[in-house]
Amino acid sequence: MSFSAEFLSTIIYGSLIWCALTGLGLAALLIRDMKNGDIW
Amino acid sequence: MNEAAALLPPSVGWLLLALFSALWIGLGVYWGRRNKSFEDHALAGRNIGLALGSATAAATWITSNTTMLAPQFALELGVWGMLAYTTASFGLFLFAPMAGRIRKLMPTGYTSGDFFRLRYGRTAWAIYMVFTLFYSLTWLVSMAMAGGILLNALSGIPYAWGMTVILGVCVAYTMRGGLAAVIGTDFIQSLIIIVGVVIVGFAVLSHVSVEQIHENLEATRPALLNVLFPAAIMAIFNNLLFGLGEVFHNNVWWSRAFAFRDGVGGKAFALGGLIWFPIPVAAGFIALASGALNVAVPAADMVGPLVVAHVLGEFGAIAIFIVVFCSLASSLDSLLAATSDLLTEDIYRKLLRPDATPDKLKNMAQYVTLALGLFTWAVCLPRIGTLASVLFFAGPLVGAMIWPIVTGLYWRSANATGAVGGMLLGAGVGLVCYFAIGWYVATLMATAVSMVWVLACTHLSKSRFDWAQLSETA
Amino acid sequence: MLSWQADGPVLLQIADAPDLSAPKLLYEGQAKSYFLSGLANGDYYLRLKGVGGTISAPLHVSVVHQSLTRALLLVAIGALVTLAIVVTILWGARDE
Repeated sequence: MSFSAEFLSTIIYGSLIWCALTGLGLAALLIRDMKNGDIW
Repeated sequence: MNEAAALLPPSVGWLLLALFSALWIGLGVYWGRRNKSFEDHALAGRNIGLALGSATAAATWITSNTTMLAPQFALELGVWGMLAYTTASFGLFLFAPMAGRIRKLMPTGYTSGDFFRLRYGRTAWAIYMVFTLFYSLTWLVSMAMAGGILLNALSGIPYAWGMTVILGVCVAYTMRGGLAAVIGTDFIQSLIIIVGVVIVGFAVLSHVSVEQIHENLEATRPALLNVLFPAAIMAIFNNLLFGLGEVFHNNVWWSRAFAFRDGVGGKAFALGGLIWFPIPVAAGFIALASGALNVAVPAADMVGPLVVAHVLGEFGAIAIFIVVFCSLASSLDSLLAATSDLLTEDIYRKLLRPDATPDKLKNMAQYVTLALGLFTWAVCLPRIGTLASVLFFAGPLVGAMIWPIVTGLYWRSANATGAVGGMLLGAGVGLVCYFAIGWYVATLMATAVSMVWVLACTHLSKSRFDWAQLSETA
Repeated sequence: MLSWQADGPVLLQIADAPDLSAPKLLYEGQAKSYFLSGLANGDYYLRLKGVGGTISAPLHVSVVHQSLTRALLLVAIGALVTLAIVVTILWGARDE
């Protein structure tokens, strides 16, 4: 039994898009914290 | 690695190294000016917000191991290798509820050593210190060595120089800026790593499609696609437990639990886990493309950089260089800071000088950071290759600490006999298994044995711990 | 991990018959070494072909993977221990 090409492309594209989203999310979160003045 | 295989000219390597070194040290000095006392220095004023908190949890967990080892795992163990690696994020997910609990039980705590001393007494504390220092020092040494080796392989910068610079830079900004500098730089480093991994990933996919990769694997390396590849699945839980033990016991994570603002800890660790989760696949799959792209891989640990440089040329090599440098720095600095705090708080303050002023403690922490850096440097300089493999001995040690920590945080019936016996028995049996059977069972057996012992002791015990004893007044 | 000496580009081929009757191409190029992984259980034969048509003697490789039963047993123990840890943490403190 082998992993299929569809499975492989799902996890590869999925993880890359996930990474991109978390990158944007982090930046957004920092801007939100900055506006509230509570980065630290 | 032969010299001819360097992907970048040394001049470019030095330039990148100088730019980032200046940036990190500058930020360290700038943020360090906020720190007045040991509490500011070690815990950044206990007021870290959600954005920085999440980023530092993820960045610290993204070591050179993640960005470099993920491709290696993919090449050796296939699809399962990458998937199994993503389970290391469970350490962060499970530490999330623990972090909230730690902050609540120990509002004035400094280190994980404080917890062991107050919860289980001196004997358990002493064993904990030996285990955690062994783990932390071998991890420091293996990362500094990896830094020198990687910079050498990527740009031809001599090993001794690359190792010295990367270690020196981390020591400098950690000394000056304390945890605030560590966490501030972690945020920038994690963004750079994420952006780098995404750009490199899509660039590789623009040269070769997933279908081509799959076709090539099926023809030449079918086991990498095998759903029941024994070598890949038997180590899954061993590695998962190694990761759990690393996060649960180490002061790197405890100091963050103390430093995050009230109510932030749980969310920050969970978000950190979510950020970390896709990285092993996103960084690892490029290794699977090596066959389809006809890249010869002379050694499994260089597969990532080689594929990227093959596809993207000098731009790719620069991207990899930056990502590797950031992932090394984000973990080295955390480990330096957390270990120096542990030594300062647990040995200097609690054993030697209980009346030391906050200012004096801060100075002491800085000197300890410097001393740790010098020690690591001296051990790394001869480049003894087998040294890095010592890190695998740490698996049974950290695995054996999982149960004492978890039950110690949640169960009043958990007691010193359970903790001491669990750590010693677990680590002992784990090390025997390591030599008698293999590395892939060592952590698993250590955790299982320690679990049985701890559960038996708590079940038989009549003692009930008073949680108030944990919140000692500073 | 294979390495070899050659003056020019080479073809690296693999097959499952000793006479390499139906070879598959692993690599083509200038490199002098190659990290081989991911083969299924069985016997394999590798050879190099130089530009001038020179062909090396085949290299025999035998692949035997770890036992699947043992691997699954380890997975089972690991799953149990991990599950116990997860339950303990999520259950939390109930005796305060």
